[in-house]
Amino acid sequence: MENILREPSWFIAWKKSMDKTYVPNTDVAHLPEYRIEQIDKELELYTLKEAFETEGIRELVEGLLSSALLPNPVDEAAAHARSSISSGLVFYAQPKIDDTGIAIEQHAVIETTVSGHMGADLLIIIAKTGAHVRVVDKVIERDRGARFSRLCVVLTEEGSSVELANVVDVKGLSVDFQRYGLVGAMAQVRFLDEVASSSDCRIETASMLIGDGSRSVIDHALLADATGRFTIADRIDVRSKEAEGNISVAGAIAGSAHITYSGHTATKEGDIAVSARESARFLLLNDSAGVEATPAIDVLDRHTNVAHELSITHIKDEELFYAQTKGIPLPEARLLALEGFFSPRNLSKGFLGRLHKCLKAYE
Amino acid sequence: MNEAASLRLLGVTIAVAGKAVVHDIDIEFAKGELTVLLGANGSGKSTLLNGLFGHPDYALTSGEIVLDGEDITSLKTEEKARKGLFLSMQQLPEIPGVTLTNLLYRARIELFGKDTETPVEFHQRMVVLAEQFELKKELLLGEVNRGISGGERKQSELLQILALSPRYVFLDEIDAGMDIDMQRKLRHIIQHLLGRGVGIILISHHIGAVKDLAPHRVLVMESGHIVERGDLSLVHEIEKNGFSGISKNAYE
Repeated sequence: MENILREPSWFIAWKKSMDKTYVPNTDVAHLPEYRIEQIDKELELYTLKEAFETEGIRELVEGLLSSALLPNPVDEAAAHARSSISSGLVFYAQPKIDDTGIAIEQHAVIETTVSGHMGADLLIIIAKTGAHVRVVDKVIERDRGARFSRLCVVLTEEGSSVELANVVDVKGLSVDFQRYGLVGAMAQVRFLDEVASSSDCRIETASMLIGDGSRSVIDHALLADATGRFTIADRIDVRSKEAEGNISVAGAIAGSAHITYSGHTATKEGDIAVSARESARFLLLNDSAGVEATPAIDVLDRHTNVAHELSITHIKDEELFYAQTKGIPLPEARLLALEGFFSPRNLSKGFLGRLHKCLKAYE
Repeated sequence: MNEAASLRLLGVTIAVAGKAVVHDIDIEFAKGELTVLLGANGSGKSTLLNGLFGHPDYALTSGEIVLDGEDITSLKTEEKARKGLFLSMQQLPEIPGVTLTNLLYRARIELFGKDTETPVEFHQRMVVLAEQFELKKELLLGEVNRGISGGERKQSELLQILALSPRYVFLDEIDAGMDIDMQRKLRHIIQHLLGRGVGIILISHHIGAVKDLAPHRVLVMESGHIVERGDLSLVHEIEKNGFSGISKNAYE
């Protein structure tokens, strides 16, 4: 990890234009462009360069990235992505208290535009004790055929919470996300995503429940269409008492797309009153779509409460006919069934639109 | 042919997997009248209904469906629903993740166009309707036909009929799985619908319940044919002699 920190490309200078778009002011090609759509004024945001120039933040970021708690790259591709980081953003949240003394959530919405073939970037979110943060991170492709890697590291101190919602709606951009959460006592990390792609997509998510009473949620809504190849790997490591881990995957697959999924919730002996749940559901929209799913839960303490669900299914003709007898046309009936499949997730309009187009294409 | 009849089946034949199993059916249905379709298991009653509504496994190979003088035979399933036809299937499939309110709200938009009623307002109105007819309002926010009993699924169908205001309702064993209280509510709803001019076609195996409903018209099917037509007295005869006694007479 220390090698990454010494990577000279980390210290690319950035400028902030009037419209709040961050663009590199060097001649380095193919860096992502960050657009800050919305941010609470109390939520501190640094570019990577700024973070490394700011006393207090630099130590935190360095400490976080060199932490032994951060998992090692799982393969060569992951290692390469980590070693080629050239830009990034750091969110740093102190608790925000309203007039009545209650800590309230701080929000940010960022949009990352990716063009050309590029390396990797970094997104760090640090929530100090009692802080609550929600970051929506949208990835936009400008040029198809590019590859974009992102390392996300989330740290929640005691009693804090972070929700990171990744929204990816691409066709030809290959996406590689590595997301890691370090969850303190009574803290919570939620990794949500909504990923629609016709290309390669790799999302590795791991949460470490370090503090007692910590909680983590990993919740995917996926649409793999055309020739998309998704590799989804989730892991929740329980290292504390009274912790709770929830993994939920809902994936629709169309065309000749394929999803390979592995989920793993690991508990250890002495992790009393731990609750773990894994739900992996896949919907095949046509015969040539495919999925391979391997969920796993290690239960090493008899006081652990676990649940597990895996299903691979398709929309049944009877469902569609039933909806049609109520007056709903076939395409809308299919969309209704598909929305139902993703329930209770509230899908964005963009994702719903992509589902609709996908259904039309494979009618 | 009774010209006052609003919905007519003329020589309808239904095939399954290329083989005709319901043959040359002529039936007239009138507004505000209850027609009961009886017959032993496998006699073709459900096949007839599925074929009429365009189920993909059932093909209407000949004949016509005429509604108010218009041939609606070739209309799609949803288009028939928009014409005011409602089918309550015998086996009610689950639609995971879709609430009954959501299904009905979408259906209402398709049937009546977008109105000013929001989903929340629609749900509130449905709750009032459920209470009025003593139906379980909790079904409205539950997933369609999921995690509920057979009788509750049938209740859900009744809520749908009340919400969608159809002109002709085909009920395929709506009374299956209903307890005695629910059967009383069903009778009340059927009488309510008949009073509003809705034509009802009921398939049932509960002869006692059919007698209580005092149908206007009774038809008996066997081997895909209508073998007997009559009124309430035919129900009494079936109760006494069974279907075998009736069909024996019909072929003689």
